Amino acid sequence: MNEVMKSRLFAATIAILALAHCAPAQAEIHYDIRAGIGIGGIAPLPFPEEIREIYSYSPGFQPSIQAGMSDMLSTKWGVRTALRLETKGMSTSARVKNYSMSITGDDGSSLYGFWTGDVDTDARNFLLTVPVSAVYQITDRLSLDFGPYLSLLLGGDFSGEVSDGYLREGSPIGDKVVFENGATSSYDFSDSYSRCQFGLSLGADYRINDEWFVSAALDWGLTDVFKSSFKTITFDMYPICVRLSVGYSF
Amino acid sequence: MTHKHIILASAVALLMAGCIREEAPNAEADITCCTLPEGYILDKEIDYYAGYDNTIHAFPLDITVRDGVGLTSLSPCFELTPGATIEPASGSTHDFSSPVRYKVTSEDRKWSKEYSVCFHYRSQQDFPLVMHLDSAETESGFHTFHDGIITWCSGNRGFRLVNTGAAPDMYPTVYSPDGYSNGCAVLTTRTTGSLGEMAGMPIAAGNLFIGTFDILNAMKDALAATKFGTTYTHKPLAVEGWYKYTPGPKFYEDGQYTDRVDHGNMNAIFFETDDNVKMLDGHADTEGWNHPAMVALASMPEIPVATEWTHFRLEFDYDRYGHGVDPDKLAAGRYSISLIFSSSAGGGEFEGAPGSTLMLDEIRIINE
Repeated sequence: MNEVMKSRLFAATIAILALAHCAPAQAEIHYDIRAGIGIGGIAPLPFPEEIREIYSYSPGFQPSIQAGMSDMLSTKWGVRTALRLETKGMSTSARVKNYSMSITGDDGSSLYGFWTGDVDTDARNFLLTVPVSAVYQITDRLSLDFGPYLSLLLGGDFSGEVSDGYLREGSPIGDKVVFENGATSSYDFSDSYSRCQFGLSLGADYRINDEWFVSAALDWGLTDVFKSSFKTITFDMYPICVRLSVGYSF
Repeated sequence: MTHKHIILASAVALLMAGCIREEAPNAEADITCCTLPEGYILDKEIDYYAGYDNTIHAFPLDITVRDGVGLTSLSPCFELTPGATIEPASGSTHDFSSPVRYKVTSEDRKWSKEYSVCFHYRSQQDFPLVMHLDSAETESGFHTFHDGIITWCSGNRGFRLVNTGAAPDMYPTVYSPDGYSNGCAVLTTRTTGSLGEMAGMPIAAGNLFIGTFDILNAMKDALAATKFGTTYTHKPLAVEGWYKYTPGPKFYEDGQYTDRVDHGNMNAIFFETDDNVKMLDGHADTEGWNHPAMVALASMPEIPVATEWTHFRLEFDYDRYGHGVDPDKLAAGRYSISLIFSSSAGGGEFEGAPGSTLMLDEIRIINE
């Protein structure tokens, strides 16, 4: 994590805590905080034909904290917004065929080509997210919410290694270079992330008592996590995750 | 992770597995094997992955056939990347008095490679008397020297992988017009940048040799990528030529710079081939040319500094190996020769001083 990212994270945390702290007890407007973990990933949809097999997938530890406010406009309907600090990510190991790839060195030199073989990927986004959603109260305990969200990327990592395969340099008819017997090369596309993400979220809150509740939500990214100028990965990648949280209402 | 998480993660993994789509048709278009009737082909190893040749606008596939094989009517059969097609067809008959062009198209029809297939007799493959190093083609972004039927090899093709943007004259092996007589070869030890370091190859010595550069091996086993030898039907006695040598300022070894003084080296090897040993590679060099196939070695293990053009003569030492030369085997093409020059003798182990420069010109093999 670099210094800029650290200061952004710090500022965002302060903002969330401040919002939570300011929460006055009012009748219509409810304030809550929630902490959760995400399980999901950054995936192309549909899967491109270049991906031949997923050897392993791990969601890793993806925490989130959120401070929110909801205004019940009627007994059934309301609106909610929040500030959420979260990470989204995954680690995967896959076999690919003819996969557009750029092997990168730390001095900026790179080797572009088409990779057939194994690819390990570590992807992580640090995000500040503002969701806005409509809330529908089904029962006293259960409510549903649905709406868009906007995320600002505070920092992130998309990197990994290729091994046990071969690269065709430049094009599928370019020089064929074999990587075997432990020969690996790394790649790092972290600088090519888009600064903003936009998506839709569908969630449900279940109230345990007056203060505590549990919540599950599905966040579905609708924009490519990479800048449009980034061409090495030839397909769009979307962040998709399920968030499970525990919340406390004021 | 709790059980809940494991179950969820497994569900996601299963979902992803279900998303794998049908495999796309192959995009590659290689000739992976070429065959003629049993006994026609003399080549010890065929280089199917030779680089694109600008002089013929095609990927060359050069194959030596036995004297007496009729070139005017040959029907070579080809193995290709699975699904690829070849035009004209594999097995069709053509007149190979001059090279015949074939076009291989990938299974997905999006890519094609034009090959120039050349069958020739070994007798046509007489060595030039003097290798002048007077002309080089810029092929795939770097210089390649041709001297008659000899195409000099270098590690340039491997260097290109880690320095795709380098200008032709920034490669380890380049052409210069400032030779002893007309043009010459300039071999310079270079650093390879972060990609080279990542591949465990922090420097690249300038090198020049007779043989092939096996690009397939360039990343997994760099020493195996430099393959030495071409059939030779004379008994060589010595190698002569002209050189200049300047060591680079700082010696690089084991990840740091030291005060060691770099030196280049020259080796000429003469060795016997059989079904098992077709060519020798860089491993034979780092192991001190003790390979059992070796018949004679002519060597200058430490090239002295020479700022003016200086004559050299390396005598082949047959006594070291004691194998002698069998005239029948010699006539049958069972021996191979290679000349190997490097701007840093430790280049095979990625030791040397960046900037070390060996210039070479007018190289001649003296036969018995």
